[in-house]
Amino acid sequence: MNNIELITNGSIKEIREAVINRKLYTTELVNFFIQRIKNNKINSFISLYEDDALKRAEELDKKLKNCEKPGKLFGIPYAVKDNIAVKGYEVTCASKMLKNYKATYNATVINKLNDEDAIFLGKTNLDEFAMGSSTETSYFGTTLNPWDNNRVPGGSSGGSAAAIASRESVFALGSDTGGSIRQPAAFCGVTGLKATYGFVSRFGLVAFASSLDQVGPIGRSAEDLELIFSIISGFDEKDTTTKKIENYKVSEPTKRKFNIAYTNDIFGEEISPDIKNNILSILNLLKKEGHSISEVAFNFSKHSVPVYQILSCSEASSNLARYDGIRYGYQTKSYKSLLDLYNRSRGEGFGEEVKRRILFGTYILMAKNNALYTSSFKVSRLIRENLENIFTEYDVFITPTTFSPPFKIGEIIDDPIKMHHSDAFTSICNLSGNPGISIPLGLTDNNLPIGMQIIAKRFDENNLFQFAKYIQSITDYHKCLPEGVK
Amino acid sequence: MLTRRGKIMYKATIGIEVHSQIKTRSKMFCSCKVEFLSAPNTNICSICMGEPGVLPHINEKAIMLAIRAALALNARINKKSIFARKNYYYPDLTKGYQITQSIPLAENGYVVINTENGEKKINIHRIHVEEDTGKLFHTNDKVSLIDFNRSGVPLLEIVTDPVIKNEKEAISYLKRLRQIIRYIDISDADMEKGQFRCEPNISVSKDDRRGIKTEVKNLNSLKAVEKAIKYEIERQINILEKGGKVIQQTMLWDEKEQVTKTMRSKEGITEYRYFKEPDLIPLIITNEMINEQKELIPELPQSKFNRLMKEYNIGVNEAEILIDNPHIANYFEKSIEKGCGIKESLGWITTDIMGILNKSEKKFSYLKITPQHLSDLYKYIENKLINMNIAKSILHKIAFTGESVDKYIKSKNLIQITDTKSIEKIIDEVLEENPTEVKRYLEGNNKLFGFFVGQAMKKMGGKANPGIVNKLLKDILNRR
Repeated sequence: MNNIELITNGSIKEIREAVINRKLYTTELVNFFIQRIKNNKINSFISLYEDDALKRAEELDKKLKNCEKPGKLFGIPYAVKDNIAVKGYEVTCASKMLKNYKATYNATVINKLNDEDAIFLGKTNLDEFAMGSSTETSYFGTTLNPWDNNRVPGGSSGGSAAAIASRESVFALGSDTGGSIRQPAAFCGVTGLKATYGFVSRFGLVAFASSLDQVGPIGRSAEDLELIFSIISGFDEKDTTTKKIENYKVSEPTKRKFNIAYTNDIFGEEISPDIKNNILSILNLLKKEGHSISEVAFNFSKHSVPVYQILSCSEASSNLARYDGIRYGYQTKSYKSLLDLYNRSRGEGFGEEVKRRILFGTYILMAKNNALYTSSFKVSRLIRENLENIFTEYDVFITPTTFSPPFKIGEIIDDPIKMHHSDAFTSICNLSGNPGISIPLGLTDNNLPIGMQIIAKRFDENNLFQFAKYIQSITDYHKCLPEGVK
Repeated sequence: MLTRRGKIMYKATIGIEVHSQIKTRSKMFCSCKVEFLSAPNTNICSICMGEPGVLPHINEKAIMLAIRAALALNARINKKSIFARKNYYYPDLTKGYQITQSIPLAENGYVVINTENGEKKINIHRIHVEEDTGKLFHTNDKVSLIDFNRSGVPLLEIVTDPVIKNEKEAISYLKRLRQIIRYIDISDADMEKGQFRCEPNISVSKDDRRGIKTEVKNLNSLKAVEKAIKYEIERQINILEKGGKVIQQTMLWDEKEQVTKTMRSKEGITEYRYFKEPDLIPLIITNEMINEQKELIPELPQSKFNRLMKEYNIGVNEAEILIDNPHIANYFEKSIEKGCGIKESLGWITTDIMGILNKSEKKFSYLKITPQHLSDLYKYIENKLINMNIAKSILHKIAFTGESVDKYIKSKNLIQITDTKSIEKIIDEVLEENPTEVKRYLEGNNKLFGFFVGQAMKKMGGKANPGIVNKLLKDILNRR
């Protein structure tokens, strides 16, 4: 492998080794990605910190010369979704509201990555406040799908997924509230993880729906993701919803046979035939390899979206109340009263989709609508119980990540119901708390990526990664790159 | 309390919500300092400023103190309580919601107060922890300033059932509650500093059905609470008398005009959209935590009150003064233990020492005279070596020096003059120096007797036994 090949196709482990053995200089590595980001026209980054990244690369070089012990991510450049706080840098949430707002502290995950000597490149694009499935609601314009520039990269972590697909970084952080990591990973043909709720600290992730949000990595392979996950996961005293649990250890490769569940309930009329066929053919392959494949009953994908919308918007309406134009963020030019200050600042600072969700959530939380809110919780619990049942017998549960391959820019942006519907399979994991990973599963006839979602028992990422890594060891789907990126 | 208007009897019903700050070094959900006198916006961080992406974490010390309070208020502690968000917009509220509790830390407590008809239990509906807001300052030039030092300071909310009948009971309850909070040392509960705030709910009715209530805010002293409740009861009765209806609303007490004024109508805007705080897991209280706090609760005011009255046979008013501060009650008991007379100790403490402290605006802890001083002083009185006036003046002199009583009396030569010859000599001198007065006295102006006593005592530096002076003066004047 030459250096360019290594940089574009290597694993984190391989790149790190090359850097430590001085086959590859950190500055060379960083420069490569910076040039890529600058030359590409897919609008995956909101901000790029070229000088700081190069300075950091030089610092790491010195560290190497001084024979200091290199971290697990030594020299590895990464991008961060722009709703995660990195001290001293803007965290815009792709909103006019926070256009010029700089974070005053580091998110816990950022500290953990930096402690392992990773190099922060910049912030990636997203749907405003992570509310969307296409990155089209970003104040900074939509990101283009590297596979087809007329199509969306998915969302809300569309910038992070597109950046990985077009090899503008080794890995990127995203956040997933209803599918915001897995859906864009599927749309861009890369691998993305939403871990078990409570496994990764949310401190420093700008809250959308606190009980559903998780930070997670998007990368080139399940192997890379597992390494990142082992670093960013764990109890954080700053986030009381994280579980006190032993540090995650990277799993060993395995030859054991998996018990795999899937359900026919999701193969309704809406699903694209390409996706259905690819799922069925991988199930066949697994069967041939000696794994047990079973069909189970799971009929919640109809309910997941409405329940997800009710719960996530309710929390969002409260979480976004702090943007009042007083202490930081956008403030309207002139106002006549306190109420006027609020109305104008929020009215002008937030985009359409964010306002729609705040209004919906505000309505749901009113005392008279309490039944909607509480019954949504009940459905969540049923989903969790149903999954728990499945995992008493099976190692993993497989679904497509999405109904369809990436849709065209502008195609459904004016149809919120249809847009929200793309979370149907992914939001199941957010409602139940289970971990889910989306891995690439080949291409449609039109050369568009397809994703498969693997779900495992809560806090059983070990099983999830063993299985995902196994699939990526018997297939090459995750190595497919868009035209022009290779 | 029943208020008669013509043939109709009106009954008032009052419930009180108290917010007491909890004395912790750091805030409820972050590590910022809690300090009353800091410069504005110096004790703040990303968490209490509600910056994007931050999360709260619970101050365990505040929870422990809240458990102590719940125990002292005889409440049942919930082993699992739930935090919730109360959503509303105001510039002093950084997150757009206040973190409070939906399932409270404790429920069903009570406080015993003394009324004219004996003891009465005031039931406490719920006790929960929450966070304080920042503070707004309105300047003259249409600018409002915000100080966020208070944002996130731990608060204990204590809500009574509507069982209080009048302003007197309300004050007794608040005083007792404040004493309890001070006894168990969870707050200084200083109303002027906003550490202890109360908001009464008041309604009046002619029959058993509960009337429509109003809530009164902006009460910065117990005096204000008393006046505001009284005013509000009158105001509501006047409305009903005229055939009107009381509107459910929040009233503000106007200290200048001594009236309540409408702050805002409650209808429509009490939609706080409460929901479970997703950033905090349920609060679990263990038996160990409860037992640890139980150990730290001293004898509480009402028990102390009853015991002191019984043990020392003292009156209600004196007992109330003594228990107001547990240190004073202890001081009293120590002095008796050391041998001081009960009557003397009570008098010295409740009038002289309290007077000295009030006048010098000093705290009890600054006092240098100890229970031993009182007992020493008492011995001089008992042996008739000094009189009461001298004793009191000694207390004033040594209050903040703590000099020994023996030394002080010796150095100032204060031992009573009981020698009749010397006293007679002084009396003769006085009568000689005031011939006109003597003449008037002998003509029947008896009031001048006191004048002669005063003059004689003055000449003897107050040290003479007043009984002996009286007797000798009478004898001498009778002889004239």
